[in-house]
Amino acid sequence: MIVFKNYLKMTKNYIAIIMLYSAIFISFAVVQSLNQKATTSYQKEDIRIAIIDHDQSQLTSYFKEYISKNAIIENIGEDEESLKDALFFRQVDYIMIIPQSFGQDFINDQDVQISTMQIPDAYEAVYGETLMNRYLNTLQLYLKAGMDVSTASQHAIKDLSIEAVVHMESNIENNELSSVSSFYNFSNYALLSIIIVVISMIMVSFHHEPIQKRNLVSPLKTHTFQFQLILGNMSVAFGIWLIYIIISFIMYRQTMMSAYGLLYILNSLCLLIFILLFAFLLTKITDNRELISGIANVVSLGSSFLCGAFVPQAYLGQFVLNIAHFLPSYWFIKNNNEIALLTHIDYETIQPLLMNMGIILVFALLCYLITLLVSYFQRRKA
Amino acid sequence: MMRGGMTLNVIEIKNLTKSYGNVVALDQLSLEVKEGEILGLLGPNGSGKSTCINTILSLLKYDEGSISIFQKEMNPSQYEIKSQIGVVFQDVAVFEELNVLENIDYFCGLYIKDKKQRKQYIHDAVELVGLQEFLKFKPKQLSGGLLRRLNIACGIAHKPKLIFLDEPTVAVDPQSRHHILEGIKELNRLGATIVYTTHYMEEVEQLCHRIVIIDKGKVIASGTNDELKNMITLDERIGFTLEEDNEKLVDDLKKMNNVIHVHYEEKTIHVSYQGKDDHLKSLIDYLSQNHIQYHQLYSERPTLNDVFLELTGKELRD
Ligand SMILES: Nc1ncnc2c1ncn2[C@@H]1O[C@H](COP(=O)(O)OP(=O)(O)OP(=O)(O)O)[C@@H](O)[C@H]1O
Ligand SMILES: [Mg+2]
Repeated sequence: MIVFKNYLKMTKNYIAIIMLYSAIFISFAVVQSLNQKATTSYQKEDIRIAIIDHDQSQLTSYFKEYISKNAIIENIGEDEESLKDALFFRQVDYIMIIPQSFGQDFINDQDVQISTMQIPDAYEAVYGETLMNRYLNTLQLYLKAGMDVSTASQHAIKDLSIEAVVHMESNIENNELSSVSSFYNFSNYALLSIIIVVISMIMVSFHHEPIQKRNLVSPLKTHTFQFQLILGNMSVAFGIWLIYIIISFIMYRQTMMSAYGLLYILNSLCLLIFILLFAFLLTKITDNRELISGIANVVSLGSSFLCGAFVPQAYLGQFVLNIAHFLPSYWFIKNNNEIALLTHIDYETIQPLLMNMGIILVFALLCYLITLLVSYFQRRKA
Repeated sequence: MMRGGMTLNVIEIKNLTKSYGNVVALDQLSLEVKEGEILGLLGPNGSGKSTCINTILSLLKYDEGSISIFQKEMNPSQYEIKSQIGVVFQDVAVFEELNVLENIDYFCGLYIKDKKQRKQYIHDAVELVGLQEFLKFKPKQLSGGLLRRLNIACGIAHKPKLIFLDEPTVAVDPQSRHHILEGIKELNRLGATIVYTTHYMEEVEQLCHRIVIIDKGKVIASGTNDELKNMITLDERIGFTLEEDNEKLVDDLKKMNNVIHVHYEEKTIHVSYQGKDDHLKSLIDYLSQNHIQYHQLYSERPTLNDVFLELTGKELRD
C-alpha cells in the first residue's frame, strides 16, 4: 500500500489549508448559532398571522379560534397595499384571505381555497401553512363523517391541540435546528473548497508526467496503483468530511443525536460523493494548479452565494434561484432548510428530502460519466 | 560479470524504428548492452536518445523491431523485468509535497516492500549521491544540482541490476556533476549494468566502457573510446605559437607526409595528422633543423567530437 500511504503523507502538506478553512468555518458557525439563539428562537405563540375573513361564517369563526390558540392573530388593513406592507415590515408572518361563502362551499366539498400571502421560505410561513392545512383536513374528515359544523370544528380543535402539546416539546429542539441548518449550509463552502483543493493538488502531483513515468516503469501494476489512488482520495475526502461531522456533534449534540442529525449527515454525505467525483473530473481535465484552485474558489464561493449557504434561500431572487437549481449545492441547502422545518419524521415527510438527495447523486453520476467520456477521448488521442 | 570469457547481453535491440508522425526518431536502430558495462549513448540534441530509452522501457510503442531485456521480450506487463531496472529520467520527477527522504522512500517502496531493508537501501542511496545534510528539505529548497542528485537517488535506491540514466548532469554545477559521475561509477563497481545518455563527450570518455554514437535515430558508430578514435583518419592534433609570422612554414607543413590539415591564425598553428606515427617528434625535429622559434607546444588525441565531425560532417554540440 505504498501509494496509498504516500497519498496520506502528502495530505500533511495541506493541513494548514484545512485548519485555516476550518477555523473560519467554526467561528462563523459559532457566531451564527449565537445569533440564532438571540433572535430567531420562536415559539409557536410568536407567529403572527393575519386573517382577512370575507366569509364571516360559523366555520370560519371556529377556524379563527383554532388559529388564535396556536398563533397571535394580528389585525391589519384589508387592502393589498397594507397587506404587503405588513409582510414587508414583519408585522405579520403569514396572511390568510378567506373568500366569500368559503364556509358553505367547504361544507359542500367544493374546490375552495384560502389564499395566502407570506414571506417566502420563512419558517414562520411554513408553520402557518401547516396549521391551516392540518385544521382544514381534520375538519373535512369530521364533516364527511356526517357531523355538523359546530361539532366537527370542536372535535378538530380538540384533536389538534393534543398534538400541539407534543409539538410544543419539540420546540426546544426546533430552536437548535435552524442553527444546525446554517452550520451545514455553510459547510457547503468549506467542504467544496477544501476537498477540491486537497484532492486535486495531490492528484496533479501523481499525474505529473515524469512521475507517472516512474510509476509506469516500476513493477507496480497499473490497476493496483489506480486502486490505491482512489482509496487515498476517498479516505482523505471522508476524513475531512468527518471532521465537520464531529464538530457538528460537539456543537449541537442534542440535534445530531436525533433522527434529524441522521438526515443532516445523510444529506451531507451525498454532497461529499458529488464533491469527490467533481474533483476527479477536474483533475482529468486540467493539471494546472492555479486553474484548479481558481475553479475551487469559484465553485465553492459561487455555489454558496447562489444557493443560499450564507444568506437564506428565502432572500434570494427568483432568477438566482432558477440558476441555482442546476447546482447540487442548491438541493443540499434546500434539504438542510427543510430538515429544520420537519415537525415529525416519518417515511412520508422525508420522502421529498430523499428525492433531493437523489438529485445530488444524479449530479455526482453526471460528473462520473463526463470523467469516463473525457478519459475515453484522451485515450483515443494518445 | 564475465562468465568463462562469455559476456551476456543484458539488452538486445534489433532494428528498432519509431516515428512521431512524420518525424522518424529511431531508424532501424540496433544495439547491445553487455552485462556489467557502462554504455554511453552519445548524440546531439534531438538524436533520439530519450526516445530510445523510453521505448526500451515500454513507455512508448514502436513501429518495428524487437527489444529484449535479460533475454526476455520486453512489454508493459513484464513486471519481473521491471523490478530489476532503475531509471533516472531526463526530467526531474519528484513530489513537491514530500521531503528528500520521503521521496526516496516512496520510489524505493515501489520496488522494495520490506521496511527494514528499504531503510538500509535509502541510507545507501543518500550516501551515494551525498544528500545526507538535506534529508528534511523539500525539492523547492534544493539547488538544481542537489535536485538532480535527488532525482538519481529516487531512481536507483532499490539497487537495480540495470540502470538507465538520461542526461542526469544537464545544467548541473561542477561539484554535483563530480558527485554524480562518481556515484555512477560506484553503482557499476557494485555490479550494476548502466546505460548512460548524454551529449557531453567528456563525460562519456571519462565514464563509459563502450560508446554508441547516434544521430538522427541511427547508430553511426560504436566501440570503446580508442576503437572509435581509430576509426577515423585523424590521429593527432599538434598546436604551437610562432615568435614571428611565417607563411612559408604553413605551406611547407601542408606538403608534409601524413598532414591532413593546417590551420593558421595570428601566429598560432594547428596541424592535424593521420596515420600511426610519432608526429610530434618529427615536427619538433623539423622546427629545430630550420631554426624556427616557437612556444606553447601541445599535442592532443582526437576527441569524440572529431569522430562525430568526421562521420557526420557536423559538430556534436550545436
Ligand atoms: N512527443 C513527441 N512528439 C513528436 N516528436 C517528438 C516527441 N518526442 C521527441 N520527438 C522528436 O523526436 C526526435 C528525438 O527526440 P529525443 O527526445 O528522443 O532526442 P534526445 O536525443 O533525447 O534529445 P535531447 O538531447 O534534447 O534530450 C526529435 O526530433 C524530437 O523533436
Ligand atoms: Mg533526451
